[in-house]
Amino acid sequence: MRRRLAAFGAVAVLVGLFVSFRQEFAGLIPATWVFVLLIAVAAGVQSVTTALSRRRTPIRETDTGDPERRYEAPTPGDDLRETLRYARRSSRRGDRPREQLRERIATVAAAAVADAEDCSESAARERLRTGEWTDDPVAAWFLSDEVRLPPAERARLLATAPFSQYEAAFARTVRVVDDLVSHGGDG
Amino acid sequence: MSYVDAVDTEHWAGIGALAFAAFALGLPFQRPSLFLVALVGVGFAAYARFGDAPAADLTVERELSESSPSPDAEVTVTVTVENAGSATIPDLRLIDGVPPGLSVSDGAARLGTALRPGKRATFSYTVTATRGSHEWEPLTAVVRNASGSRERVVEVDAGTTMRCLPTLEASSDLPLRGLTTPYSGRVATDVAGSGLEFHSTREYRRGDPLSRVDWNRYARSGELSTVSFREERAATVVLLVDSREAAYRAPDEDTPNAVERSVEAAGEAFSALLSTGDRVGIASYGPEACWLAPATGEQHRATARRLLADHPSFSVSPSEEPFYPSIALRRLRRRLPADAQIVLFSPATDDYIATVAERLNAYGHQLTLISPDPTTDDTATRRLARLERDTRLRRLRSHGIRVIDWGERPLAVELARATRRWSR
Amino acid sequence: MSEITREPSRFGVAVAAGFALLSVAATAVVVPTGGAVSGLGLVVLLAGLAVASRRLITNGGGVLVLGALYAGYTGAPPLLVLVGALTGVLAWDAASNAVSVGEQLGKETDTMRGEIVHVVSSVLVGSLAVAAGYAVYLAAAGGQPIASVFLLVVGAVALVNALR
Repeated sequence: MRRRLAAFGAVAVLVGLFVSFRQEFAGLIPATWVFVLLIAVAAGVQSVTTALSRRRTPIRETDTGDPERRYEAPTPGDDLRETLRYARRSSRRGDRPREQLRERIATVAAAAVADAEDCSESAARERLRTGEWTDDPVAAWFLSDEVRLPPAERARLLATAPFSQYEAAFARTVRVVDDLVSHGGDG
Repeated sequence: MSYVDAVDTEHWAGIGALAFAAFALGLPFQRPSLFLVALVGVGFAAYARFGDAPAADLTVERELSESSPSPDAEVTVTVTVENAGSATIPDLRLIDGVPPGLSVSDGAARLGTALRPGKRATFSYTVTATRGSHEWEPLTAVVRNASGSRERVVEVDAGTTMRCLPTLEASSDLPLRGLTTPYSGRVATDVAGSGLEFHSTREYRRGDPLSRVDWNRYARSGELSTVSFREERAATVVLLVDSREAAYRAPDEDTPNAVERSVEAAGEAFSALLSTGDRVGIASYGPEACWLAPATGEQHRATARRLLADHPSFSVSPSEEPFYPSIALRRLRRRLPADAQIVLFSPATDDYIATVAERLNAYGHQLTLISPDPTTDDTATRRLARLERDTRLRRLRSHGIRVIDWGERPLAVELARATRRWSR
Repeated sequence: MSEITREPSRFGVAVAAGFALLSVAATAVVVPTGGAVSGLGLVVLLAGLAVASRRLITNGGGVLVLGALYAGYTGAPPLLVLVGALTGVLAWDAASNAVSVGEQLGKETDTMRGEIVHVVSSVLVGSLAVAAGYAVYLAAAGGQPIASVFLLVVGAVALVNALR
């Protein structure tokens, strides 16, 4: 199809050149003003569509990477960033990322509580469940199924971090557990 | 050399719009100038369509100013590329394959040029040497036709290697006695022989080594006597480095990663133990397994130095080979001498290595864990990882494994503190 | 040092700016309004080079050429119109290539030879088209019958369509 179009175009151009040099043949080709105008409009439309098509076509280019840089090892904890991002978005259902994060903090917290209060692992887990392991209401709520978050705390969370409440609660809980581990007690 | 098919870059996409617009304007108003402009548009549209990215045939030569530098030395790399084919390459973009363990400190490992057949282009850059055996990856050449509408990628290998061997200290002041003395490996027996602790002197006999003559006594009284020592059985120690991908962790991009620190510490431990007469071996737990059976002597020291410097398992960047943990553990267990003690070097950033440590300890090899700390606490997730590691180390301690949490202080300091703690 | 800066090279920017200036000059000499339009195109093109945006560069190049087209419409001498349009296209090509080179090789790399060959090649092709067209124009002097013009248009439209 393309080849025929190209051939037709080439022929038309040659004949047009020929006629422009030998103008006596001009009469052989029909060309009224309206006809010409139509062609001009068509060309105009075509120019717009061609220009727009450029917008649509992606420029393809080989990606060359960064060989100049040394290998950089990841930092521990960076693998959780993605889970945290999913956890932010997950709803009441489909809670896998939230469960994962909660379980990871809970493991550390249970070990810390068992150490600090000199009790068994299951007793520690029990304390996590009831929320009596800490004074901080947000941390207690984060790691437990049963503890409710008091409205005042929820409002405070909303006020300080309106678009990342889950992340703020996560960070706070981690900090509380950190305090517990390093000081062996709250506060 | 490897080829990829040429692709359209769409560099000239939309140039036809010029021709159409010129026609649309020129035709009704009969402007010949605009027709000629349209011809320019047609000309460029044709230019974009004809001609493909040439199939480049390139040869690459790479020269290092120093192929066995010492660590932190600046090495200049000079790359010469020649067009060995018969076609002119109008647009040649070269990107050199600097090894992942090295970084470029001056210049750029790239060049944008054009080459007629038989012509050469040269560029150079400087890298900072780091420990290990570094192999250059293939040079990438992005080849385009003159109009830039077609592009092709060619990779050319030149097989360059740079080996950087740090010196292994002749002796090290790592206080490792505390590590091995209380263990069954080092048992003080009461048999006089040539072990290391002073026991008694006797009359000099012909053939006794001069290094064991009591020269103080000779200076005092002119009598020659030979010192004999309480025989101590030398310990058999295997230094095991965790070289899995999970061990390659660092707190930030400027600090050496945990495997690098482990290898450095293993080197110092090796020297220290060897100089006190123990039989030391080196092993790695990870892809590219390494095993050097425990032994003593200068030849052994030389082998260990080479191994720690450029064995692939101890490289500054992780290997891409697959790793089968249980198979590796079984193999390690088979190779370990029955009375071997293990010093494990691992950041302990995952639970699996903790189970390996406990298992090896349970098999009867007294295990000590020296753990470089790659954690930091600047974000919540990183803080959590740090807490998890702390919990992990505490659990190992409670199961009877000696753990040295190696943070920013020098290892010698941490070991001294630990030894004091253990002897309490 | 380490990582490269993925921005257009100084040389590429200079070449593109040079062509763009030529285009503005060629148009402005005869048709100040057209020159003003082209001037706007020049500004957009340079902005596109500064932020390495291909879209801005294409828009800028388009407006540059639009100025030349306008000059052609108002009946300016063909040579000036041709120079204006051609250098407009060359500016756009050089700028786009500079962005591509910057992304793949970086600002710090020596890319002059590669870029020169690309630009010179485009200049040759464009000049050839201009010379051929101008020669035809000179040879076929006087008013053109609609018929021939019509055929030329149709033929060229078909060619461009086939070449897309």
